Amino acid sequence: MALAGRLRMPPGRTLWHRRRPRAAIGGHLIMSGSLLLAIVILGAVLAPLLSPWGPEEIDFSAFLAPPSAAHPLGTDGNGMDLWSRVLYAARIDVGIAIAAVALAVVSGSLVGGLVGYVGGWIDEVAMRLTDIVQAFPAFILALTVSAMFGSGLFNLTVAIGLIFAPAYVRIMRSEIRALRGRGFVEAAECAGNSRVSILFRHLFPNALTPVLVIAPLNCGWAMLTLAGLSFLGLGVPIPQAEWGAMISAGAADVVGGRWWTSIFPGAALFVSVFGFNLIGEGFLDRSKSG
Amino acid sequence: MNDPLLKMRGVHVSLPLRDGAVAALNDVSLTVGPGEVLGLVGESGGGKSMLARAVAGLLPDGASLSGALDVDGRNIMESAEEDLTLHRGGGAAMCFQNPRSALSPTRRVGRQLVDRLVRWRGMAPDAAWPAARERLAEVGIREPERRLRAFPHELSGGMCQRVMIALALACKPRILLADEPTTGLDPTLTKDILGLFRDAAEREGCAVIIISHDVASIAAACDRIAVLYAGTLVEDGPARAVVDAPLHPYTRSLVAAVPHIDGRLSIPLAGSMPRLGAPPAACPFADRCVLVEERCRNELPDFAAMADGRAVRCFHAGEVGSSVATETAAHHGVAGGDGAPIVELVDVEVRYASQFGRRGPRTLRGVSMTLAPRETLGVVGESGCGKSTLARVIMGLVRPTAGKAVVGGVDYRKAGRGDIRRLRRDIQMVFQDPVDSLNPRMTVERNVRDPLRNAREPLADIDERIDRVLGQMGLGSEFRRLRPHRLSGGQAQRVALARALVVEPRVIVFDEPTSALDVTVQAQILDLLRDLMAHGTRSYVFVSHDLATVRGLCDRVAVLYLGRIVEQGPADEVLMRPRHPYTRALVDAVPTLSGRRTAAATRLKRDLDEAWEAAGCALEPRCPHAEAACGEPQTLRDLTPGHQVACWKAEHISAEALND
Repeated sequence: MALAGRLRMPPGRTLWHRRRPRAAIGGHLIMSGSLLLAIVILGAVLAPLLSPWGPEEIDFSAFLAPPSAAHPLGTDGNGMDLWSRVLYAARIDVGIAIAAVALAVVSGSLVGGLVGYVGGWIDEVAMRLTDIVQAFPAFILALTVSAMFGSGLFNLTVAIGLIFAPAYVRIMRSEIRALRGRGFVEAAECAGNSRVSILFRHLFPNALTPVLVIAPLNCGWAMLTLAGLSFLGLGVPIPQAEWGAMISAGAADVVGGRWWTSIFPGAALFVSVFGFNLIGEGFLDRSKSG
Repeated sequence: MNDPLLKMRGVHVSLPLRDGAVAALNDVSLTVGPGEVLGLVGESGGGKSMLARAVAGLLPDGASLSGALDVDGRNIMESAEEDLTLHRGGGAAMCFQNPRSALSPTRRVGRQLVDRLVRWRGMAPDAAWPAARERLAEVGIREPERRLRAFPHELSGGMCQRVMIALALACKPRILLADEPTTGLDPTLTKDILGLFRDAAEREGCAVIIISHDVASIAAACDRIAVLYAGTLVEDGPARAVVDAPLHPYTRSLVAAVPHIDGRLSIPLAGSMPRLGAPPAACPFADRCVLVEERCRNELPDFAAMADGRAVRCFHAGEVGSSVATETAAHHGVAGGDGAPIVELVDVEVRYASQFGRRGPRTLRGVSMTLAPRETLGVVGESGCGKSTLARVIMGLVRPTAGKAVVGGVDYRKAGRGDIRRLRRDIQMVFQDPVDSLNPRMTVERNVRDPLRNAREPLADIDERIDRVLGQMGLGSEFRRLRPHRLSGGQAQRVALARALVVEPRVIVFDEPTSALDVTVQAQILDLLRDLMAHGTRSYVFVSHDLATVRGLCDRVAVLYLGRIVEQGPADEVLMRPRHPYTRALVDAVPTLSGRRTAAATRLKRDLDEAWEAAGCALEPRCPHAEAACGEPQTLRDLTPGHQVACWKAEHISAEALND
């Protein structure tokens, strides 16, 4: 038996050997990501209970105060409590990120699925339109939307959704096109399904996996985009609590040694994006091993 | 006299898997001598490929091997890694099942071949090119100079396999291993390719091991046959003797599962092979064996040597008689003609649009045929002759670009989508790849329910109907909740059959329903089909390249060549006394258990992909009987009532009965 170890297959060939159980690893990632996000979301929901201060409430006795018993994370230049602002900001940041990606997923996969199935000139037109949208830098696109329709949370959501939708159009279209030639689609046609039914009952459920895998990853990016827009002053109107805007407002204070105004919102942003990315990676592992 | 090139004594291979170890090979002892061709047969999962990998030193990671494995007198288990590299190639060279994926896709065939000649035969690079050309010619590739400059994707499957063989032989191997080299190829090609291995053994003096699940083709091409079951060698002996008088009950079942062109029925073997965790302590075949007794379940029989160089592992080796049951197909004898045809095609032409929107080549040209109620029509021909397209035209999945296609009173050229959808109630299809034809996200039950749902049947009846058809297909209610990826190929095809049957259609179209399945599973499915067809209330179209099966199941046969029907008529008539040279070639290529048929066999001059667009008879470039007059286009004409042929020379080519 000792000799047997020498008779080996080159690595990478897994004809006979079962793959490493990656699903277990994926589960691990999903669990930790969900835990991080759960903490952030719980904080956002329970904000009124966790902090005596309102997010826009000014403590006239403490401007730029360092962390203390009264203000656990200190206050910013306007005398607003950072602990409560970091908590309340999660409502906006996580909320908009999820809403925007949901919008992108739904609209993008619907359009992508439809044009992928129908094909022909409609497909051609839709693909060129996504080319155009994708050719714009994300920020310019968001800027255009807010310039055209005014700023505000709803428009911001739509703008960010618009940035991410083309990716879903492409993914869904290519998935559907690949599935269209499969035997079960022909079989579905033979079973008397209408085209609508083939698309929604047979094709969509089989094409959703890659979409669901990248959606959490996109939530992280959407959050960074939102924070970036707010940092540039294009996002959430002041003085609403939002991490990007808070980092931006505090950026100048860091030079003066008042690190707490931007570090804490930055950390909150980091934790949430990391949480989304972990979940995304977990799904990715799971879909690969699946 | 001749020392064996391969000597295996008591070889065990076990593989650690996540859910426990698998004993892949158990106590295998085998020798193959120079110039000898050994056929290794058995069901999938029986350890055939594992044996080849062990010999080639290509076992998967973590596999452990014990026993003695000598190649050309050297124990390869004691070789160092560098010697193993030499061994793979010079010692044992391998031809893989899927030749196209085994060839390097970015390098020209010539380069790959020259590299090997330089590396293994020590040729100078300049001299290697002409040598490479000769080697391609040896494996039956015409225009070798042109093919040398081709990339693998430019070659057909059959040609890739020939290249693969040339590559393997270029290494000057002592042992040539071929893992399912002809699976998925037409019978016409299969015969040629298997012949190449025989030539190689004789010319190069190497030992050849051909792995196959197709006992019939192997029987003619090999000197000896070894049968593997659950990693255990159960029988070994001269090919003819093993096939004519199998000693082990398993071998007997394998032979009985082969459909025969003379109409003999294939007899299925029930059950499936066990997966062994440890070397067996009892006969692994006991659970499926008809001769089983107490002793078989408690002791493992020895691999005992018998007379005439045969060996068998069975307590009942002597008792298993040599006769294989010969029940002949009972046709239901409804050779059409009663009632208006349910399918009628008139001059149907199909042209698929090519990639750039231009009209592509025609896949069907002027096909006219009818299908009467309660009739079974077989459609045969090589791959790429339009068989599947014809099935899809009948189903309304492909619309003819010209001509008339009327099914169940609906004219496809005029019908709207709604009309065609309503027709689905009456006509159903079963596809070649059973797993692919089921929606992977739906359970078995929902897959079967789908046509009912669309047919808008009264709801109360639905569950009973699903239960009934699944039961009819031999699937218990525990299958209802499973998803397709949990099913084996045979089970998936049963589900697909149930789905086709559940709406009780008037016509079912089968598109090669068994070609993706293992021999014994094939026989099980064919058995189901035969039961189904025996009831005689429905019409069937059976597309296949397996002529023996068509002969066993069908009333009438249409032979398709390059999108044209070249011969059609009663199955017995067409397949037993073929008139068209093409049909004759197809029939002659069918592997038979009863021995090599050499006398007066019709062999086509070229492979299908080497034929060109002829102005007259389409077969002219390949036909061995072609002469000047064949430059005229040929149309179907009546030879006898009901038997049509598209060859002016049909009467001159002597019609010999084949069932000698």
